[in-house]
Amino acid sequence: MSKPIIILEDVSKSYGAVPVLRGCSTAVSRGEVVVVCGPSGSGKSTLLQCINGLEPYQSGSILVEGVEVGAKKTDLPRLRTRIGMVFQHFELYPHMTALENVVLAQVHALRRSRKEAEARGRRLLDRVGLASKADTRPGKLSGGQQQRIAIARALALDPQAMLLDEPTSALDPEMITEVLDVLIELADEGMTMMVVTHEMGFARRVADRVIFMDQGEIIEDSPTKTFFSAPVSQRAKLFLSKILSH
Amino acid sequence: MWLPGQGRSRFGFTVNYQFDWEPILESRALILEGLATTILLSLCALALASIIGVIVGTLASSRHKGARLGAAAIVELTRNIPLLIHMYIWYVGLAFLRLPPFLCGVLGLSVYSGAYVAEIVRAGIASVPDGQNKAALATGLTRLQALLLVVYPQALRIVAPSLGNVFSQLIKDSSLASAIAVMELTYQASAIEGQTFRTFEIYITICALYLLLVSAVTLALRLLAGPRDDAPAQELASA
Repeated sequence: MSKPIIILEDVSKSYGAVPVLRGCSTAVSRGEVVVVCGPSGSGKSTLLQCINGLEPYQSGSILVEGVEVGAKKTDLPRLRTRIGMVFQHFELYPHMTALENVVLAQVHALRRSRKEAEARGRRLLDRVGLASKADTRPGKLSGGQQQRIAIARALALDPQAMLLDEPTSALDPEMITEVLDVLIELADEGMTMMVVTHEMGFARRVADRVIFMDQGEIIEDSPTKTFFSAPVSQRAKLFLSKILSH
Repeated sequence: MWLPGQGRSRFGFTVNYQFDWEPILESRALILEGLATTILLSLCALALASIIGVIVGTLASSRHKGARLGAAAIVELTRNIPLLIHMYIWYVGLAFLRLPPFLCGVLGLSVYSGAYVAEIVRAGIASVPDGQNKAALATGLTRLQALLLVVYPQALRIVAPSLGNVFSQLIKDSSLASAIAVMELTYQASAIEGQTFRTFEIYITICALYLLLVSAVTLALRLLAGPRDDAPAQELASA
């Protein structure tokens, strides 16, 4: 593990009087896979969205490759091209084909030539097993296919890290594997990832660390083995017993 | 009482009118000139109303409260004043500017209609899920790029029918410019009527012309918005 690519220090955020993040601190090193879990409403998604500046935070500091995300002079669009993001509901652009989805930011954010972007887009679609769907609109694809295209869209920018916000929780059970397979492959290739997920099998297999959140706080931040075998906090134990009991 | 040259309807009252289209045909140059002015007036106002509408509508969807309030104020202020007054404001109220009547007509029409376009644009932007904007931003697009490339195209498809309504309303509203001496279709019609007394003929003629014009614009807009084959995307995504 080399130096951290993402560093959070005492990050807090609230919507009005309602706190959503309370003093969150952690760091993600290059090549590390960190799974974030916890009950719904615990601030997992918000934490992820703060890291690439989609959500503002009121105090603390978030550094991505040494750049303070919350600083006024930070070039957020540039910073965001360094971090790929995948959403729970895919958020593919419905008015564009799969290929156009993957090409758009390459051309407009990275200023790649259309030709280069399309070549790269086709390679990535091929990589997630959807080369044949390049000219299909998202509306005609299954959830699993859409999410794989969304992953290709994020990868197209050659990101230094990936943030995945519940990438499989909007999927029908039979489609979860096809998406997880792509993520496992990515992890094996050494991609730095922060994944919010309840797929504990996936966490056990690829995560280096597990972060457990509850009520806006990071309750546990431990190596995967430790987290599953000997969670420290009562709340983590309770959470694990609930989602692993069946 | 029955006089030659008079028709008597089955319902008992006399129809003291005989159609004579000759004078209309003779004034066709004026009518066509009026039609051309109406088209030009409508096109200019349509373009300007769209620009005003997109800017104000986008401000109305802003995260900044000041921008939202400002946009709301503009919309309410312009929408709640009768169009004829809008025209008078530019033509009479701001007479010292010495704007030509045509320009006054364009300004009055576009500021008034722009408020309606703004409301539609605001609704259109609101109907595009926030996740779309977030996804676009997350890939490093700027706010403007996210709007232009991701949000507007989707919003346009959703609001195309409503925009069509406003635009056809705008064409019909352009007839009020006749009150400030813009020599458009309605102005020419009343002038021809004054000279020839062929009231029914001239107004039937311009009715047909308005009908044609409005239908053409509505159809063009429908074609422009394209087939809505992406509709199932939302259903699938939320399934």
